[in-house]
Amino acid sequence: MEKELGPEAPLAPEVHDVMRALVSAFRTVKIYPPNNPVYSQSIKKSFELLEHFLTTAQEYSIGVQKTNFTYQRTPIGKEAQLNRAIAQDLFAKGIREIVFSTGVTETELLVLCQTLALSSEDMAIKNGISSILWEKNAAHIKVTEAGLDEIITTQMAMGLMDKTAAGNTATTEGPAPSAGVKERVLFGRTLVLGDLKSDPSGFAFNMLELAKRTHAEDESVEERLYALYQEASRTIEAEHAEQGDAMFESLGKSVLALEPNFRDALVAGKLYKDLDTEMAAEQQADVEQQLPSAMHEIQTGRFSHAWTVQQVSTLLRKSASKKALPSTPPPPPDEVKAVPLSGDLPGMAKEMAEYSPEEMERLKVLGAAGMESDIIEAAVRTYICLLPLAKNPLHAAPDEKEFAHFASVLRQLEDMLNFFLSENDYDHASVIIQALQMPVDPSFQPRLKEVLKKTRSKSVVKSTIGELKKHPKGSREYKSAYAYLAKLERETTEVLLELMADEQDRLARIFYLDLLKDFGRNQIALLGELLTDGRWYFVRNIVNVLGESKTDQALAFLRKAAVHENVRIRQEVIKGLLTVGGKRAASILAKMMQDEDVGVQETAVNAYGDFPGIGAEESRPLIEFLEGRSLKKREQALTIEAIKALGKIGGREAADFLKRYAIIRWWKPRKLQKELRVAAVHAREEIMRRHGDDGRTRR
Amino acid sequence: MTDEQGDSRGDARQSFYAKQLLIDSARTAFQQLAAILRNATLYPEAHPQLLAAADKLRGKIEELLVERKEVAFYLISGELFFEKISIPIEQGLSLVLEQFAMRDVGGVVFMPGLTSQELIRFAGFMNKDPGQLSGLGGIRTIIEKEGIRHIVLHNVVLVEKQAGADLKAGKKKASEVFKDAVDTVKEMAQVLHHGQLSSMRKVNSVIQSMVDNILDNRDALVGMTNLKMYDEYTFAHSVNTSILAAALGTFLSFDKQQIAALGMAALMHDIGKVEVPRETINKPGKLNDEEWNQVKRHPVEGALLLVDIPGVSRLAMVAAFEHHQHGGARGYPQVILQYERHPFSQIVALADAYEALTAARVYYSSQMPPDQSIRILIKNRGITSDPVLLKAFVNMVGIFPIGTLLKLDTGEVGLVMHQTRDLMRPRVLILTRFDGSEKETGQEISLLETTGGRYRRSPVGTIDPNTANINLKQYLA
Repeated sequence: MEKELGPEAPLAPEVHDVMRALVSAFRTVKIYPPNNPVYSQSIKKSFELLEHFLTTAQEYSIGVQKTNFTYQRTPIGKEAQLNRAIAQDLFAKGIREIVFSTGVTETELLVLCQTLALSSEDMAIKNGISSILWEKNAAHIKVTEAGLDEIITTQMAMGLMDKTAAGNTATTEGPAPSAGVKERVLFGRTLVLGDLKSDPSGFAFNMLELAKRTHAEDESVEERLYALYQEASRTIEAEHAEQGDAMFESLGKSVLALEPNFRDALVAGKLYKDLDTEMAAEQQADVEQQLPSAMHEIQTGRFSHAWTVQQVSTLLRKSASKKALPSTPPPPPDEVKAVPLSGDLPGMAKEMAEYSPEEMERLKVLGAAGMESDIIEAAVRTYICLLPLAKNPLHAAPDEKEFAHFASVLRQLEDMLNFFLSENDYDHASVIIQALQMPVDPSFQPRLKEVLKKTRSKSVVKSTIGELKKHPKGSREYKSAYAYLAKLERETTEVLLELMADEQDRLARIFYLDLLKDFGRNQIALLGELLTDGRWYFVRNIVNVLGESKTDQALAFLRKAAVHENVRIRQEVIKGLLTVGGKRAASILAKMMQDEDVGVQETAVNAYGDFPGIGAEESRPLIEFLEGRSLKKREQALTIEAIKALGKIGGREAADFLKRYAIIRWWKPRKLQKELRVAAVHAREEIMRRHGDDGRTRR
Repeated sequence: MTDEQGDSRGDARQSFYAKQLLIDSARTAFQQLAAILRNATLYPEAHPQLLAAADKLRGKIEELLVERKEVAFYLISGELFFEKISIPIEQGLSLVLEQFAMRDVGGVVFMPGLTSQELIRFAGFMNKDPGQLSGLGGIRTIIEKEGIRHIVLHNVVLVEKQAGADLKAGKKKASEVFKDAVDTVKEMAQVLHHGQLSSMRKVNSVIQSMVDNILDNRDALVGMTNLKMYDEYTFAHSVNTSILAAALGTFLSFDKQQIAALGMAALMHDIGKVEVPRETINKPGKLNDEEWNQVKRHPVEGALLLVDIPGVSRLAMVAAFEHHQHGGARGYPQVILQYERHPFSQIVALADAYEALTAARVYYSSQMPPDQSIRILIKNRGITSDPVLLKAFVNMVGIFPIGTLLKLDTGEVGLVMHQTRDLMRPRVLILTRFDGSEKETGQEISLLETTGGRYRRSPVGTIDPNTANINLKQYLA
């Protein structure tokens, strides 16, 4: 990154021209739409000038400062105001240098200008301008961005440095050996254990120096250091066994006190390698059984080099038994021993080299992998699998990190759900809704419930129902949307009721009602709750659905609705009871024959006569009803209807009861009595016909 | 020269399927050319048989010219290339390659407007004695003089020099890219372990460099994966897996973005291991069941880590989660849903398994030949890997992967440097001193080279570099 602004050095006019044109192009692409002639002309002009410049130069580089541009560290651009704004914009986006090299094309220049015109947020979403240019194959333009070489935050860098400082007391200068250490560092192979226990870092320093001075020509310092530590370990085992633990602990400390690169090479490169070689020999059979092997999984997990003293000491003890093999020069070619090739190799090679047509087809399919659709599908599947796994089963309760992970996964699933719904992709949306209902750790439940609540919003249900209406029943789209609604039965039921209540179009209401009959079947309790709604038409629809459900639970609510203040609802109840049928429904209907509204009475009586699932045993209420009737003109019609109804369902008791109508009493209205007698005679005949064959005929 | 599907920076121009069709077409064209050369020795120029053969080849060339400006065959060390794609041919056609080599022809380019007459006359000149031809100035000069304008010949030195230069440049860059990638993984692991969110831009940049490098010269970077530098192996493993996965992606003709996503997914596949407690992962002994279960949780931890990192494709999360979920009972994590793993997860798993097998060779006391890794993978196909992907992988990496030491029937030792279309016959660097000096001065030959129709050299055995004390890093890095 260029830092200093020197005095303006004389630059060739062509350099200025190119810069002017380029900056103009950057600005133009940002301001004008592509179909504006200024847009294409600006690109063309700047490209021509740039291309001409590059015929005599390898590259043209623009340095981006906070308020201006530079060319080879020289500030450039007389039109300071114009350049300032653009330079500020690019600088704010993290761009520090743009280099055009020979071979750049107009297309590449256009891609650059379009990319520079993106907002910082858009650039960030696409991983920065370098990534965007790479993806679009702008190979002759290189952009240097600020902070691209940084991966660790400043704080972290400081932390690392502190750690390093703490762990490393043996710098290249080395600490002064503490008083009392016998400093008999000899060249050659004499090893000095010295005062290992009291000054492990001093010991480390001495070991490293010894290694540097005594390593062989074909041996690295790291290898020599390892050999020395092995020797030290063997010496401790052989001569200081009684202090073994303490000595090895100190030896371990001394290893950790080495300079980081030597320390890592020794511990990771040698000590753990020995361990792994030992374990590999024990687990050789596992290699073919499990790919990759357990050992390999562990090896490749040792990201951290923060070893403990105990770990290093243990490894040093193990290394004591290893013999360091002297490095030998390789033998001449004709003496190099080879493992003969297996006879089946040519056959294996031939088999591998040829693809059958089926395999080619499979490869064709595989070649399309990595497209957006399959990425999304795989991602959703993974999120769903992660939900129940966010809590580590080895922990008693989830910790803060696990809560955060769970919340992240949920958030992603929410986003995906919203995406699918916006695309009317109900198949995938259903999968997510289903997944959100799976059992998770109790600690995660509240968070899950929050999300579930959001996913069940009425607006979503409404729009899905709208989508359902667009497609014919039985079509793939219909089934898909239907299945999604089925996962939100309660919400769907509520919304359908609302829609029905507000809908003017009869056909639409029928559509909603049909759906309600399906979805409402399992939402009886909800329907029951809503019976107290103030809108009579709303409640009437509920009663309709209750009736259609034909469930015992619905009957309880129909019983309640049977005494609703609104007569239209009571009428609807009768229809519902008729749909349900049976003795229990009949008992409710019987009570409605005593309704205060004559219309309801009439409907109830008529319905009773045609009521499914009842027989002569259920005719008593009709008899009681008739017993209570007075011989008045205004009651005549209903009385006659009741007699007819009795005729349809009554038995012998009813037939005996009906005999009373045969008698004409002179002090009562003759005409009315005669009408009743006629009706009763017909009714009795009907009963006799039904029961005349000794009951073989049943309703 | 690599069998690559496009220019060094561009997208794959054709699917793998289309590439295979092209290979078939090119092979047919060369067979037809061989037929003309043969017929030209038997029949005079106007003979119907010869005319028919020439017409056939001309038709084939015209077919190929529909999508290109010229039809170019290159002949390098016994290997036939069509543009940059290696074309497998039967051993019988190797005589034809020898014929070209003896006349110092390294490349044959057919231009639009080619006539059957030109083909016949060209065949006639090709059948002349090489001595006679060089006396007349060489075949290139002759056909120019004779007005055969639609066939252009290149000499061998030029072609091999260019190929050699490309390879050398590619190798240097590969080691830089590799080192950069290892350093990036180290930094990233540190950052994630401490709960910081890392900037993925640098990781993306590294992946892009890797993809560009693989597209330029796959073998150079794949060769780096064979150097099992133990002290950095933890980090190198992720990079190796990424290289192998991305290399397979280029082999399968994925486009750049797909390859980059695949490379990223492979690079991050083991990132969940940063969450394994240190006392477990660094335990200086065998793990017990509970500790092993902690390690086995790493796919879940990796996926959870990757859920929230911006700038990372979701495929990285998917691959991290799925890469151990092969069909066997030993797969993990076990989940309720039944599904087929995403192809990228399968590729990552395959690369991971291969990496593990080849690394294991370093530790076993008994020698395991390099082809044994392939053998084990083949044995487990259908369980741990998709059979078709495995086949493509083996074709990409070879029966004798780059870095394998071969004992030849001539007594020589060859180090595999590049794969050819014949998995049993790679290009090797002949080692004589074993001190790394052959890298600059040594002879690189193709085991496809023939004399009189017979292979000049054939592999008879493999050599363990550790046992023979040969440092591969001198050659491959």
